Amino acid sequence: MRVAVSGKGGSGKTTIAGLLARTLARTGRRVLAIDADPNPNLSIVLGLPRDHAFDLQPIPRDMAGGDGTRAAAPTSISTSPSLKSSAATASPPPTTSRSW
Amino acid sequence: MTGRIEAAGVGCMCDPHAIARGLIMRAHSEADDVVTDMEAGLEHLSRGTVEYVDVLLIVLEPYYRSLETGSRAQKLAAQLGVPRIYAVGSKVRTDAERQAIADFCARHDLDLIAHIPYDETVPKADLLGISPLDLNPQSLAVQAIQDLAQTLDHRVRADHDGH
Repeated sequence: MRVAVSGKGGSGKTTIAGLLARTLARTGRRVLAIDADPNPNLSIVLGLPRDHAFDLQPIPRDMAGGDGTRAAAPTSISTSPSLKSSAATASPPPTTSRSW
Repeated sequence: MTGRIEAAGVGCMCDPHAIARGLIMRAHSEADDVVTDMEAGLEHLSRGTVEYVDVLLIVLEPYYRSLETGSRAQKLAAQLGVPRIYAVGSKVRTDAERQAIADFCARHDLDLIAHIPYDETVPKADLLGISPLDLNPQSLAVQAIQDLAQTLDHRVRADHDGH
């Protein structure tokens, strides 16, 4: 399923999104967690170490394949190394084999 | 992450919104689930960033401005055709707060599917820069969000099975 979590700043939105992602990942599902907040801190709730979280870079637009309104170059999310490093995947530390 | 404001007074967030939308649309073929932490406020709704989601969770705190914002989010998401719009009470401390959220949702025809209690584990974890799940997996908020994941899974699956 594709879930978006919306709310005011400080509402607990990020905590809910991050823990939902980790909970779903614990069942062995492949979960992509997207931090679309311009003040990004989802990675902390996902459990990424702080120094790794600070190193995360935003996904370049061409890699994300445009805005979804036109045909875009094929983008393989699972095999793109840069995307892997910029999209925090919601596998908790004990199941890192599920990371991609 | 799809964008980060690095300096005051420069740039805009058009690209991050478009990137998030594109990712949500495409990731479904690669991932079983996609969970997106949206920008605080309503801009992701006015821009249609949530166009491709199955579920929008509207997080409501028990105070007037939060509830009103939630109600506006509901209207915008309905206009976008988001198939499931659910409310989640957050930082709920008392029965009165729980009731206030429930009453508001009933008046606005918002489907309230969970209450996440206020839980000291969350600010404590935030102060340490770690996940509440790693600080105290048994804490009430963590447990409530795990229950919420199950509720969502059941609801979405029930809809799929019904079609």
